[in-house]
Amino acid sequence: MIKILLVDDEERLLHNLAFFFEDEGYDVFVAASGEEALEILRKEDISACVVDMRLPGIDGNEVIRTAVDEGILQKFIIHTGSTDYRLPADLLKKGMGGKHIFLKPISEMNILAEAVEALIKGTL
Amino acid sequence: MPTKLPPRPLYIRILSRLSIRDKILVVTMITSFFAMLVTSATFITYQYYAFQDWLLQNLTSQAEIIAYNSKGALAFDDPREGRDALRSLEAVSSMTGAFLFTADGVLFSSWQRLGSPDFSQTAPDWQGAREVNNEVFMARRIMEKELFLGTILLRSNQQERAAFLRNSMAALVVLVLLSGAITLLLSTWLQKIISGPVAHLATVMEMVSQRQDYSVRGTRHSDDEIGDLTDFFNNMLAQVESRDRQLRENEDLLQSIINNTNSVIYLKDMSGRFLMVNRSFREMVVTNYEDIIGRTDAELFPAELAEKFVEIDQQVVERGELVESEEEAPHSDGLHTYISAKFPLRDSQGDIYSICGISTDITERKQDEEELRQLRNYLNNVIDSMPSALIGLDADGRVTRWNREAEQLNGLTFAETRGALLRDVLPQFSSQMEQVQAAIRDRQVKETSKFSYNLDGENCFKDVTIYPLVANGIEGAVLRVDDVTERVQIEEMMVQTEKMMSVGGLAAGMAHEINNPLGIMVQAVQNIERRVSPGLAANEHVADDLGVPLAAIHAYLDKRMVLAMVEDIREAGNRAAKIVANMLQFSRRSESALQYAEVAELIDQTVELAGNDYDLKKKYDFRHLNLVRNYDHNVPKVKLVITEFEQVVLNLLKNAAQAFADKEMGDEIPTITLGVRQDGKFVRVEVADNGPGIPEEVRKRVFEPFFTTKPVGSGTGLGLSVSYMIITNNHKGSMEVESTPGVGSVFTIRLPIAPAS
Repeated sequence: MIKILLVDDEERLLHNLAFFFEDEGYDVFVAASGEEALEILRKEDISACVVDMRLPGIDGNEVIRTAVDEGILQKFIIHTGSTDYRLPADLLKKGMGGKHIFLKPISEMNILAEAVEALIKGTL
Repeated sequence: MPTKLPPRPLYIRILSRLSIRDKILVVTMITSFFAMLVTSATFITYQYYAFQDWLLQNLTSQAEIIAYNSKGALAFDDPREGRDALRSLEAVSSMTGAFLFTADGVLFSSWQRLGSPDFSQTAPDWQGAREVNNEVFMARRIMEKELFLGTILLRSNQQERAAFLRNSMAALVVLVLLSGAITLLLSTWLQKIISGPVAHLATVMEMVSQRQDYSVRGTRHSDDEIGDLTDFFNNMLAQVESRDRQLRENEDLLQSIINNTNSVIYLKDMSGRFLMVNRSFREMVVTNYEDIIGRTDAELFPAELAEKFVEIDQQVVERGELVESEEEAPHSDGLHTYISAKFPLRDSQGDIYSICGISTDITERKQDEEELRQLRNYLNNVIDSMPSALIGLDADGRVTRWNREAEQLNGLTFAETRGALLRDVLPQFSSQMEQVQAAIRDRQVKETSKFSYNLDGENCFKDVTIYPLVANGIEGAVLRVDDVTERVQIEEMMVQTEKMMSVGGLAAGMAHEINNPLGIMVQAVQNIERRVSPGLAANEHVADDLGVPLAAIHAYLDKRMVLAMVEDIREAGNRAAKIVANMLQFSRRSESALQYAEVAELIDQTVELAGNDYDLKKKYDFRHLNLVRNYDHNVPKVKLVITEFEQVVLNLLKNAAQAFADKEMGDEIPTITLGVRQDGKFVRVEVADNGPGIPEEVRKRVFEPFFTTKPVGSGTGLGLSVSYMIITNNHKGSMEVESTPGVGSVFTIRLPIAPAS
C-alpha cells in the first residue's frame, strides 16, 4: 500500500481527510504538528505528503524545506486556509508551484485525491 | 472814444477857457450891465415921456395964459398989447416964437426969439400940439363967450427936451459905470461864495486823482447846489473808497489764494510769454519773479517739455475753451506729474488775449493711484485665482463681484452678471438668499455644506459659505461656493473602500478559522455520502459484518430523507464557503496576472455567458432584452485580470436584468446599453439600463458589503461591493453609479490605460 502523510493541527479535518484517503486505498499517516510530521517522514517511507501551513511549532513551509533538504521527500501538496498564501522563493526553486497549492475548504476531496495520485505518479 | 460834439459858438469857446471865477465875473458883469441898461433906459424913457407931457402941458397952459391975456388985445384990436402979451414968453428959454392970429387968420402980432429960424406965419386950422422938424407947435383958439376971437400959435424948440435927454444919457452912463464898478467889486468879492467851494472841490479832486487817496473829503461850505455837489462828491468818494477797499481786499484775497495754493498758476500772453506766475510756479522753476515774467516756456523748461506745454496752449487757443491735460514738469527730485486746466482769457471784444493755466501736482496721487490700481489688480488676481467661486452680493441679492471661478458656475462673466439678481443668474442658488439675508442680519457666517442640485443630469455638491459684509457700512455678503462634488464622491468611495477593507481585513483574519470548520463540514458530508454508498469495498465489508445490507442502509437513509439533509448540509457549507471566498476578495491582492485585453471583446464574451446563465434565465430571459452596444473600437487595450473583469460585468448585467422585474415597463423595451470609449487616461465602460432606477439613499450604499435590497437568501449583498473592490483595488480604476428613479441607472467603470511600455 502506498503510504501518504496528512499534516493538520485541526483534528477533525485531519480525520475526514484520512477517512477519504483510506477509502481511496492509501496507507494514511497523520500528524498534528510539523515536528511530528518530520518524525514520521524520517521513519516511514512516505510517497506523498499533504501539509497544512499554519501549524504549532514549525510551519508547513519549514516541513517541506527540511524534508527536501534532508532528501526525505520531494512530493508535497500544500493544503492551506490562508488565501494570501505565497510560496517562498526557495520552495519555488525546490520545484513547488501553483499546482501544488489547494485552498481550504475543498468540498470535493476527489480533486485532492487526484492531485496526490498524479503527484506520486509524477504526472502533476 | 470821445463823442464828437457839434462846433460850439465862439463866445462859448472863449468863455469855456476862462476860470469859473472869471466866468462868474464875466457873466455877472454882462448881466448887471444889461440889467442896468434896461432899467435905466426904461426909467429914462418914462421920464422922457413924462417930461414931454409936462412940457406940452406947460405949453398948453402958457398958450392958455397968452390966449387969456390976448383976449383984450384981440377984442380991442390992439396988436401992441398982443405983442406984449407974447413977449412975456421970452423968459421961457425953450420958446422960440409966439403968434396971434385973428379970427380971419391974419397975423395979429408975433414975437420971435432972435436967431430962430424963419417960420411961415400962417394961421393954423388945427388945435393942440404938433411936432414938426424937432419943433413943437401949439395952437389954440381964443374964445370969448362963444365968440371966436382968434388963434394963438406957440413955437418951441425942444431945447429942454434935448437937454433932458442929454442929461439923462449922461446920468445913464454914469449909472452904468458906477453900477458896473460896484458889480465888479461885489462880484469879485461874492464870486468866492460860488467859486470858492468849486475850487475847493477841484483841489480835493486833484488830490484824489494825484494821490489815489480816496479818504480825502470835501468840506461843505454852503447849502446850495455846490454844497449838495460836495456831498454828492463825498458820497461818491465814500463809495469809490469802499469799492476801492473792496477791490483791494478782493485783489489781496485773490493774490493770497493764488500764492498760497500749492497749484501752479500762470498767465501767458498770446506769444507764450509769462504775464503772471504765482509762488508755486516760482518755487517750481527756482528763480525770481522778474526772471520769469516776459519769458517763454522754451526759456524756462527743457525743450521737449516746453513743446508739449505750447502744444496744449495752442489747443486752448484753437478750441477757445478749457483744456484739461496731464503735464510733466521737472523738479529737484525728478519729473512731477501735473493735471493742468488751461483756459483762454478774453477781452471785452471777446478776443483771447491770454492763456491762464492752473496745474496741480498729482505725482503723489498718481503714485497712490498706481499703487491702488496694482493693489486692486493684485486683489482681483487673488480673488480670481481662488479655487472657490466668490460672489459678492448687495443686500438685495444683486451681484457686485463675480470671480473667474464663479464664471464656471453658469458660464457668465462678471460683465454679464453685474447688478443682476442672484436668483436670475444662478437660479439653483436662489434658496441660499434666505441664508444671505440671515448672514447680513445676524452678522454671522452661514455655512451650508454639500448643498446639492442637479446640473445637466448630474448631481453637484457645493459647500456654500456666506460671509456678511458689514465693515465698510455697505450691507452685503460674499458667497463662497466650493465645488465638492469630487470630494463627496471620493468621500463616498473612501467610506465604501474603508468599509470593504475592514470587511476584507476581518474576512482574512477569519477565513482560516472559518474555512477549517467549513472544510470539516463539507468533507465529512462527502465521507458520509461515500460511506453509505454501495460500490466501496470497505462499506460492503462493514455492512456485512453488522448483518445489515448496505443497500438497506442506503434505502433507509434515502427514505428518511437523511441523504437529502446531508445534501442540504453540503449545500449550506458550500454557500458559506462562497461567502467567505467573496469576502476574502476584499483583502486579496490580485495574484492573477494582469494581461492586455480588449474591453469590448470581454464584454461581449460576458454577454454570451449571461445568456447561458441558468440563474439569470430563471428570473429574466436575457433574449427579451434589447442590447445596445456603443463601442468605440479604437480604445487602447487595457491591462486587467480577465476573469475578474468578466465577473464584474456579469454582475452588472445580472443586476440590470433583475431590475427590470421591479418596473412596470409598459411600452418601454427593456434596454441595456453598453458603452466603451476613451475618457482621458481611462477606458470608460458604461452599463446603463432603463429599469426602475435606484433611489438616492440606496444609490449611496450599493457598493457597501452585505447591503442588499433583494429578499433574504436571494443575494449575498456582496456582488457590487466585490465588483467595486475588483475595479478600484485590483485594477486601480474607479466605479460609480448614477441613477434617476423611474428612468434608469448607469454604472460607470474607468480602467486606467497603462503607459505603453
